[in-house]
Amino acid sequence: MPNINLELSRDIVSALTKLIESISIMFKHNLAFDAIVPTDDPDLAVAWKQDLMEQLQLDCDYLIAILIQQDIGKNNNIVSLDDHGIEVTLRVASAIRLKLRTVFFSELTDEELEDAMLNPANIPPHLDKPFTCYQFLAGLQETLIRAIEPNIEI
Amino acid sequence: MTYVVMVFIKVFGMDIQTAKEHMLEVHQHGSSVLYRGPKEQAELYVQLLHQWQLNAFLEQDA
Repeated sequence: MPNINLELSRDIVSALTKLIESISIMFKHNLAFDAIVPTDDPDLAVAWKQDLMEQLQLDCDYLIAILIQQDIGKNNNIVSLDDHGIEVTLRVASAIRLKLRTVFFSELTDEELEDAMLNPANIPPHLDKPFTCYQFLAGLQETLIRAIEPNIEI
Repeated sequence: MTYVVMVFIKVFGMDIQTAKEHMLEVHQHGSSVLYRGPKEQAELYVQLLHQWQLNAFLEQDA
């Protein structure tokens, strides 16, 4: 598959990179979700989660490197993603959105969050930045998925 | 939701319609049986789904 070129808004990237870095630090100790590990062996369960956390850390490092490149204006704010880069970006965007959901939006029901996606004015001001980040990553995912699987329409 | 459909296509090689049906089952009922077969293969699928940030678990047939 040919690479996908994305032009990211420098203002958005600049505003959100720190938040994404802080979420990335949380992943050093916890996954984005409470993984149900298919083993009764506690050592294997720890190793399973450790592997997932290591991979997640690599994924975060990849995304943060892209965002920092955009923030400093490298490559005219165009990021080129190959197959691997697309998969990593999709995965890590999902993980960060899950963590944002848990940390910042736990008081909102799924319906309220969906409604807020359509009417962002309903989001309390102190949640503006995490919500912008949540929306940005959702948009990034949708863009990439439309590019690689154009026939998916829900 | 498109993300979940895409992951099912990538991990299980499903066609879009089948992947959508499983996604809707998860959305409406909280879970869907995605694979029946040898434990080793099932564990691999669980690992892949976890890597894609989707929770999954194994159940032994009664």
